Amino acid sequence: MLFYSIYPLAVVLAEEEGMEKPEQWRELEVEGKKVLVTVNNRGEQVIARLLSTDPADYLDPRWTPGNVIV
Amino acid sequence: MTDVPGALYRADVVKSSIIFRPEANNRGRPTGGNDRGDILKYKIRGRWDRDCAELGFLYRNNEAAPPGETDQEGEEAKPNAPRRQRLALQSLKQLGQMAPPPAAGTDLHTMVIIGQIEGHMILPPKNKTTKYEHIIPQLVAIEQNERIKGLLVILNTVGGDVEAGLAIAEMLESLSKPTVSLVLGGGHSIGVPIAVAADYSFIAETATMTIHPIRLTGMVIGVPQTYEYLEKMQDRVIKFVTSHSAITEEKFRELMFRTGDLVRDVGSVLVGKDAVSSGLINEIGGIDKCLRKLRELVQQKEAGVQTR
Repeated sequence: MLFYSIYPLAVVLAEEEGMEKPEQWRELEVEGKKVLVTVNNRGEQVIARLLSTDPADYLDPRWTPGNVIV
Repeated sequence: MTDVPGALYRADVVKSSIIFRPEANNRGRPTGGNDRGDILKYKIRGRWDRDCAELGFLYRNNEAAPPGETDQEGEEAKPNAPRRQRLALQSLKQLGQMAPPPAAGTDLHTMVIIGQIEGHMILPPKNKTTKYEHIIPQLVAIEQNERIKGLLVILNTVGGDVEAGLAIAEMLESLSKPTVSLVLGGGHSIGVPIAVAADYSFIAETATMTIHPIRLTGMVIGVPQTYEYLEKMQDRVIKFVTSHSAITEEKFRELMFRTGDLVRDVGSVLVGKDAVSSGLINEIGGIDKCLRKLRELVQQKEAGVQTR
């Protein structure tokens, strides 16, 4: 990998200290929309990011980051 | 149902309207652990409008809600108010959100490139990244979708993988639909070719772009890169930027190897108007100018098609 960034590669690749476990990321498809979710400590899937290019999708409160998918 | 205390039941319904439930065959949490790209099909069992309707139904039957709540809801809960309006107010109050507006059929789509541009390697999760595997298929979909007329690319990136960044820039550049880019905050390093790949580029007055040499970091198949290899990679970036913007190769190289601008490093930081005066970016502007320009380009393209 060739890296061209204002952040040094060492900073980008450094593993965090003191973190018990890294955040779990998953991609799901909910009603035809792709969402990136994290898993919280209760095992629930919390919406972190909506992956869409249609700006109108972001007005739909169902995909607000923080909403839970069970 | 009717004997359940009003407030309690209402809260329950609100909860169900923001929680999505999986299909029966996907009961429970998906297995497979931390596998990115693990695409699972979910369906929302309750529909938003139906849930709202339930709220409205409860609402009508809750004239005898607990005193504390009736007081607050009193003015919003005018039984004579149009039902739709009552529902909107209700969901705003209960969830802090409005019910979704009717689908407007957006013909200008947007793509936000933030954080590190991630390519061949998955970066540690603390990094905010823009992923190749998200962006490239989206661009393919935009190219194919006849309803989409133009694309606005918003950049706020610190750089990232050279190959992934160039791939996004190459895709943008070859997109047949009008594209406009906007650099907000920062569009550094490999963000520069992406910004200039659009048909027309904007930068916010206070946004910055850092131009610096590609450094001796990273490995290629476990072998440290040679100086010639780095030179070659750097030339790809320079060639792309100079052939897609008004900046000359001499000027760009001068900015890239300038000393005295950055502490303990070579390179330069271009703030808003510097990026425009050097020829890298077309114009200073924000979202309003971007969308106006994009509409203009779309109209020009449609007019061109008609006269042909």
